[in-house]
Amino acid sequence: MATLRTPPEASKPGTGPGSGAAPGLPAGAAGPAAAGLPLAGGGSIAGARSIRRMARAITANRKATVGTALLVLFIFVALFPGLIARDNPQAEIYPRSQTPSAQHWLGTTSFGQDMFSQVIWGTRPVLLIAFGVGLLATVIAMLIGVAAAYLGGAWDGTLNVITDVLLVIPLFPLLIIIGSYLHGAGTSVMIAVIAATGWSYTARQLRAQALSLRNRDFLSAAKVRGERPLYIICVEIIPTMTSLLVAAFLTNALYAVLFSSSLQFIGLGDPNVTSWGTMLYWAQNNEAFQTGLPLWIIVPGLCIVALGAAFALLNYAFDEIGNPALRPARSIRRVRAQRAR
Amino acid sequence: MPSVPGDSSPAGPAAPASGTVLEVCDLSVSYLLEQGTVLAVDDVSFDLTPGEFLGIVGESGCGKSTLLFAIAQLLVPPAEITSGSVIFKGRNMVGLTDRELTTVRWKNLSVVMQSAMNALNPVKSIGAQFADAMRAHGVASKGEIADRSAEVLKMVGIDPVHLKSYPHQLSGGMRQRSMIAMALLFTPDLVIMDEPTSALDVVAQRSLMVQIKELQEQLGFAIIFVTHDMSLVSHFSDRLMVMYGGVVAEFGATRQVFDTPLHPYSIGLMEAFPSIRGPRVPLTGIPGSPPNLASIPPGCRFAARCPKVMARCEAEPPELYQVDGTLVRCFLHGGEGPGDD
Amino acid sequence: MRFVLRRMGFFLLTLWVALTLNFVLPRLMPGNPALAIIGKFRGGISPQAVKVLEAQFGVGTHQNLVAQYFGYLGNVATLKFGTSLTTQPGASVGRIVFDAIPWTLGLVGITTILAFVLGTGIGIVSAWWRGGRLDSLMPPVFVIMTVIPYFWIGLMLILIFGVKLRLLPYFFSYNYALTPGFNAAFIGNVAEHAILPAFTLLITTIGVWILTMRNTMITTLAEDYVRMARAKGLPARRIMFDYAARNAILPNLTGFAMSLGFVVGGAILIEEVFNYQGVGYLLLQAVNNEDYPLMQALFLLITVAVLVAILLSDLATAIFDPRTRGAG
Repeated sequence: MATLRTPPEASKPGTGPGSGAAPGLPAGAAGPAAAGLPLAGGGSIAGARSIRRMARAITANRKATVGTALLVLFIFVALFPGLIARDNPQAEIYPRSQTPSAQHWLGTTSFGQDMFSQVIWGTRPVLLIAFGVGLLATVIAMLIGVAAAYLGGAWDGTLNVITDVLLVIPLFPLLIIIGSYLHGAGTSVMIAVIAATGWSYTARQLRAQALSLRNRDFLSAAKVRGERPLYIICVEIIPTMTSLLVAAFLTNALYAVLFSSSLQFIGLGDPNVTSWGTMLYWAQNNEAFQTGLPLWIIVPGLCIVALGAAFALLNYAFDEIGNPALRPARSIRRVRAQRAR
Repeated sequence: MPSVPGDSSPAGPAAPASGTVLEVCDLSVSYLLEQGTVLAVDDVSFDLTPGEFLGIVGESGCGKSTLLFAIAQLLVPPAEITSGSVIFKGRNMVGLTDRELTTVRWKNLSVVMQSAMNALNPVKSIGAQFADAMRAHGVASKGEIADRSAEVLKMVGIDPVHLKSYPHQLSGGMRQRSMIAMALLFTPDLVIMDEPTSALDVVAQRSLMVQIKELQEQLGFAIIFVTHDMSLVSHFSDRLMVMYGGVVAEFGATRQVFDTPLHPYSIGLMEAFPSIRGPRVPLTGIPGSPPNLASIPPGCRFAARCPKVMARCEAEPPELYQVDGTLVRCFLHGGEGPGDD
Repeated sequence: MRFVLRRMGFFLLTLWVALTLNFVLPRLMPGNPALAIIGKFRGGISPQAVKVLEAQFGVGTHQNLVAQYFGYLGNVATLKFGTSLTTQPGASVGRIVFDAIPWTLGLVGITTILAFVLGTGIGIVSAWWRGGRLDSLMPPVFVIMTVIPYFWIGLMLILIFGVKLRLLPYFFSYNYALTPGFNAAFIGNVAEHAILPAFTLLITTIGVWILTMRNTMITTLAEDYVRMARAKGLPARRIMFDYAARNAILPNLTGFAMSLGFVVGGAILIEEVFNYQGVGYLLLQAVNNEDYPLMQALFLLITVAVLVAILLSDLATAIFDPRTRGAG
């Protein structure tokens, strides 16, 4: 009856709780390979194995494939916008407030800019912020979470309190205030500020998993060898947590996209940078709906949704891969029908 | 008398042989997974007379718990009864819906699970859970519920004041006993127990077993007792069934199976337990591990680990052969060809 | 009891951090923001307002940082938040904020509870009825629902119901031709204006509850005590609610508290989009007008509100989960 379970996480918007192996299977059966679960034994070997298992799991899961496809599309657009849209997105050279036509696939803004090229060129800042925050926030969360778990005692207590306080303070109002004092934030400032305030949730998750690994044998072996704590943290623990780190990256990236667009929408972004959020800001300020330019609002918003969905789907797929109980339960009849073919 | 395979009709309710409370005929249970079908229980048959104590032993993964849940109709997808029947008091329970089973459940057939901490609802008091069971079966008056609850608790030696306690407030032994008390609320004809003593220490185990046996003699219910601890159950059971790899390996009167085991697996189990009396002999374990139930080897399932394996064993699976009232699944004791005795 | 006390201690700690942030942030920025404002309003601010500004922003004082800090804390404790610089020049910040609170409380409070109750209910039922074709479809749909920016949904609803169909009003909290009063006409008008913002908030927040409740429920349904309840022959509805849901909802209660931060952010954006005169709209006005005293007061208010809600949900957890109570 005993099954392997990682410690339960508190629930969070956008993702489901991650937990351990499927309950209820007989121990002797070769049950579904629990892809993504950290294995005991050897740091870097487990890391490489996890990555290979992850790749296989991604192609098998439909949500993961859709998410990956969307993400790849956006990355491509961000890297090579010039290939897709020739116009300078900022150039106010066209007739204003045009509806879609052959020359302007989405029409023009009330400043005379080509909307399509705005959307295309606007992809890069958004992705920069997403990946920037994703990376930075995850690194901070990882260092704090794993250090708290591994060092324990007073360190753990203090870091926990800091994490919890940051978790509770309403972040969006805080970001608004900071943005206001700064009189608007460009891309790099935004990455720094969002990452500096938003690492706490994923830090908690990583700490929980690190705690469950703390007493594993391969760590005791490293300690007996005389390795220093920093080495153990970096070389032994972290590679085993790959799948959770990827999930944390996705969570932070998603959060960054939504928050940065929202900040830009209220005018706290850099008005000289073309991105989806700033497009929406200008659209709203120029009464896009009332002047017959609904696409100005619809399209950038859809892009945000699509990018966010990519991150969220991938994250959800990761949850399913780690906890097979969450997978869609095909009815027994269908499995038998499949079997019969 | 244990039934001979091939004699019983597998489908439909049959008129009960005189005095049997349970007839299991050719029961097979599979786990229908996407990766393949795992045959957890293969063609198990036995009868149970009123007041009989049947012990089922085997190592983890041999299918004994699955068999138990199959009998109680508590399987959850992807597990499914794929063939056979379970005739309880003249009625085949396989295929009945939960609602149809309500009349039988708990009033005639109750279940005791391995870990009371997991089997009891953590947010309800013991008394509330007793009341739930009684109300589900038509006992409405609060006085009756209170009286009966107190009565069963006293039967297992717990002070009725604990009806107000929550599961986490009781000790392990008390929790197990309150589970047993709950099982006896309606003085059922059959109580199925899934390793109820495994979570306890040796002393508590012993006292619990003694109590169970006393209650059985007092109230006259039949017991199916599943465990991996052969020596513990053999002091109390009337008949003993040894399972291996999803099939019945040996089945007969406890004294016979225990004193003169016939199947090499049973012999191995016996030799793995040191005897506190008698000469000191070196312990021999059973090398190897249980078969992978997703891809069952042809021939005898124990062949890979059997010290007495013959060429024939790996080619064809043995049937159950009768030897002095005990059933054994081994070519050493039956089947044509060399080695027949 | 100890549990509640510990949580209150945490509450006070977080409040202190928020206050300190309010104090520290403007002083960290290159060039004190308030200096610019004072310069703009040379002579146009009352002496009391200047005093409060000094404590809040350290402008034009000769006190050292520590004295300023305690002066600031003292002001907050006595509810002296200063006067609004630019939004409603000269008006007391406390007054302005106080007027806006009921609007937000009504909108956000009611909608959040509704979303939680509905979402949890749908989550429970959807976990119970697994295996159908809907099951593979629903989660991705809900996942996508959770990533839609709050403000964009509001804008879309405005487009459809306000501009195109002209069914519902979408500007301001009520028709400002009417005079406010406790009469049916006014209240009806208020309700009408609240429909679109409330619906927006509902759509964006409900997905989270459905998803997390469903996932927790699925894990709970696999637990032994649910199997045991089946074995006892309990009716399906009782198992679903009394055994499964009661346990599955516990992590959701904690999650509710944590997600409040996000809901607050969403409310701010939605009020902005609909010009709904609540606390969020006020905050953004203050930001646009660089009305720092007002901004700071609002930040504190929002933080306190979130903390109170968290405390309440902790209480609820203590009530529903006997394991958190006392020494048992």
